[in-house]
Amino acid sequence: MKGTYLGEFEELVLLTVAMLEDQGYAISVKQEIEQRTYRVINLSAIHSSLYRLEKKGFLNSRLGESTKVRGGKRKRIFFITPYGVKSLKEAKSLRQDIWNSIPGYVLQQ
Amino acid sequence: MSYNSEVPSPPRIAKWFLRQLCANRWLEEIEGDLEEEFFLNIQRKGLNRARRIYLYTVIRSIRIYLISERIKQGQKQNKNVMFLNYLKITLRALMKNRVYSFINISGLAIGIAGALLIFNYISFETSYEEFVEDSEDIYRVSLEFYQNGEFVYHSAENYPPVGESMVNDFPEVIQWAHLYNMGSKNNVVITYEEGQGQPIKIKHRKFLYASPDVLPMFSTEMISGNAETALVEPFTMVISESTAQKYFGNEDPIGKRLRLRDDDYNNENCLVTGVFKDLPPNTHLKYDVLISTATLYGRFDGAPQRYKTGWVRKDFYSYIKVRPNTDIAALEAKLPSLLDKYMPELAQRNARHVLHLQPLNRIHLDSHLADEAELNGDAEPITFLSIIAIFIVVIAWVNYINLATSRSLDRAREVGIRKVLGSLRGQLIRQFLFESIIINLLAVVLALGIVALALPSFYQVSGIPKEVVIWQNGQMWMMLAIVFLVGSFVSGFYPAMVLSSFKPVSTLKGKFRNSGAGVFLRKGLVIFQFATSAALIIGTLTVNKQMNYMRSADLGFDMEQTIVVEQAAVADSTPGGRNRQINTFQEQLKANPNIKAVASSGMVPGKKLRFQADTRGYYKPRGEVYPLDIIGGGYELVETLGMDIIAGRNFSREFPSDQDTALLVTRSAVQTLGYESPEDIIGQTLVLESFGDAGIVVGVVEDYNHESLRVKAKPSVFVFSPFWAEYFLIRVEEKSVPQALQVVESEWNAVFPGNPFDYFFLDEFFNNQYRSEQQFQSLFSVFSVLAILIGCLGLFGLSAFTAMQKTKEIGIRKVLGASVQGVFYMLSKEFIVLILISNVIAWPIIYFAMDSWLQGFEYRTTIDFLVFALALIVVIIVALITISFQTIKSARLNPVESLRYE
Repeated sequence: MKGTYLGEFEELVLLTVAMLEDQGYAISVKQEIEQRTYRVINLSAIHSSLYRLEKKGFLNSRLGESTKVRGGKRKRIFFITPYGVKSLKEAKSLRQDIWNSIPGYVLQQ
Repeated sequence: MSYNSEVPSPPRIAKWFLRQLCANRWLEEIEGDLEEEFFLNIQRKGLNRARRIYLYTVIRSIRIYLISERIKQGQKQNKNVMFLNYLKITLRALMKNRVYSFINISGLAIGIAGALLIFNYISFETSYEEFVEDSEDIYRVSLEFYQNGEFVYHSAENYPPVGESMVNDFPEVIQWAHLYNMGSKNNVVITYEEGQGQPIKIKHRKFLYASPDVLPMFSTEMISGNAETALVEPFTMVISESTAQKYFGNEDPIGKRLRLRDDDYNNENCLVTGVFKDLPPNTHLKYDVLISTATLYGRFDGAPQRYKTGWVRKDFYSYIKVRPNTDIAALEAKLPSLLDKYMPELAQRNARHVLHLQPLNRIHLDSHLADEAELNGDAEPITFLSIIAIFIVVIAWVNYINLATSRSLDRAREVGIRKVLGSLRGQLIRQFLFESIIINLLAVVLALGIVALALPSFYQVSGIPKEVVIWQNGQMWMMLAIVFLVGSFVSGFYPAMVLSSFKPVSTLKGKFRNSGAGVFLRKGLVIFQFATSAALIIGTLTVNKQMNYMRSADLGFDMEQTIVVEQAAVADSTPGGRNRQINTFQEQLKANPNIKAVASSGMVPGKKLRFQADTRGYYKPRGEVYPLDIIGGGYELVETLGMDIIAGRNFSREFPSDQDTALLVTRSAVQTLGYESPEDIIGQTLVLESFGDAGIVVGVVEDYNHESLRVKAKPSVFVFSPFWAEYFLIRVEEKSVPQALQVVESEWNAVFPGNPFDYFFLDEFFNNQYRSEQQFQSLFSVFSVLAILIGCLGLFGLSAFTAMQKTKEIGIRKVLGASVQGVFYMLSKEFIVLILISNVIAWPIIYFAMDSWLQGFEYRTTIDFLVFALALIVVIIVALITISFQTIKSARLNPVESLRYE
């Protein structure tokens, strides 16, 4: 299991990168998650997740173009790898399994 | 913060730090992301917040993945690999010589801890009124008084209209406020009557009447109510949060009424119009209840004149606020014109006033006037303690330098090997500096532990209120960082230079010996340490001597076994009934065999007198008056306090006329009023002008010190008034204090029902005035012990080293017939000479320092030269014991062993 385990925040980041196609870099991921979850997130947390996910093989990256607003510095664009897609699916189906096993009356509450 | 470029930029330090933190691989993108966010934030949240967020994000970026990446990158550089090696060697060296390491680190730690504690004390004492906005523009107006060209007094209180007139007459003065002090002089009880259940009664001392601008001027933080308007109307009051809690619990205090009663028959029902946050402990003006001064104006006909516009009574603390950057000297120079305008009669009375402006934030440390609101601190001990703190840290560093260089033999071989293998000198210096940083770091951590352990006793000794949390003192952390950095480099630099200078050939051959220059330096350092220790011992003993002197000095009255009971707040409402109660209480007590004497009194020694009367002899011209302290008392007061009558007689029942006219004066009052000898004043009539009263002097009492021995005994006059009974002074039999207390309590409950019984002992109360001296004394003693301790640690290490170096010499001497004592003598001689020199250096310095401290006391002891000898003996004994651990060991060593050495 070690290495494939996805934390809640990591899963959010991974999903968001997948959603953003070739526009996913730290700032856009951060804004997307903040808008959807109403949380305030520190940029350093996004960086740390992105690099960790890359190290685990869920993400791939390349350096993108530079813009003036970034002081002429290039950005790193992240893509989801097939392995990343697979583990997202696994996470989803694991959850679905458990959902399906919850007795109906519990969910009625 | 100022930046000249048009493009706003993130904080430079954060940017720099990020570059250090981040591996090159990621630097560009992370920096870019942060910058992009920064510009987004400028638009959304403004530049300042954007900069703060940037800094915060950089700090939050300190994460293991980043650091490990950075280390991986760094490891490719040789410099960084070596640091790991340095760390390893440092730890090995520390472990190899555990005793040295312990001495070194604990010496440093004790020094740093001591300095930190002193720093906290100083930082508290100098922080007074810091919380007041624009405190540098606020001044208290004090009043100096001369009669016939002679100085009479300098008071913290002033005439009521002084501040207002300054605002009217001088454009640079923009605001005034004044306060009328009653709580600490009178007996004030404030009652909440309208609540459910029993009325809540509390005696208040921190209570003042305040003009409307007091609250805004002193930046009082209001919880409810408006600071600008709360004290405008008559019969309005503001109270502190904790006072509100006491009276009203969780109810809203605004709009409730509290009734004030005092022993001058004032009865004022006031509306609570505001609640302020409890004042911080670092203010000279402490209050928990303020009532509007407008309340005073309705007390009697002419009250507005008395309390607002009249230049007659001088009993208001008066503050003014000036425009920023006002030239205070110029303003002070204009003040005489103010007096000329409003008090033209002064010249006729042959009197002169001088007004002074005291900066608000210097009052606590610099002002020691008459009528201060509280016992102020003292600037001089602060200076002394700062010097001690610096010395303690320096001694600890000296220890480090001393031990590190003296141990250089141990490390010489290592240096040789490193050099042969290609180390450059710069690298070796770096290595030893690194070592010094590690050791200092360990010492800092240990020092924080010591501070934490010593904290409870620190609060007790220093008298700093417990609300002051020292860990929240940012300045302390700054100072710790500075001590750490300076310490690491200052104490590390010399050993590093010495160690790195060794020639590899000689160190490896084993012929290496220390240079003469190093020995000279080490001796100098030992002299410095012991000079400091000796000076501190002499200082401590002299401070002790002065304290003992003050405690046992003849004050002109006797305060042993005297119980004091403050008058009842709730007494018979008619003056006649009250007088009967006062009489009964005393008569009942006198009948008891455990009680020697009882007197009702208008004063208690150690507490400021409330009244002064402008007094003159009957035949002197009107207006040529001297202010004398007024003491009210009955027949037994002089006797109960054990004062001496030096001429004439005491008040006496045998002379019925005493009841109307009799006065006693003190010896100094005789001279002040212009009489030659005490006998001359007997039978003379004195006019108490400001009281509209006169009396005949029946006796002269020896001068007595009503207040602490810092100030001269003041000329005073005793007025016969047996029912001016603010206090009952009860002298009891030495052996039966508990029984006597029981009697007093039961009589109290019988005569004054409904009053809680409370008492104190006169000697404790009086000596309480020496609180700041006591603190100084304890701090001084503690830190001189610390200094000696650190000095001894250093000496211990040094003696061990010397003994080791002389192992061979000792062996040869013993083989040739030297005795153990002889060797011991030889090893100790050198240190004894150093200690003698250090004492001789310390003597003149500490003599002048202590002499200047003693000048602050009107009554003072002399500096005893025996103390100097004593300090010398103590230092020598302590030093001998310290070095004997090592020297005896080496002296007793079997010469076979010591000669085999090397």
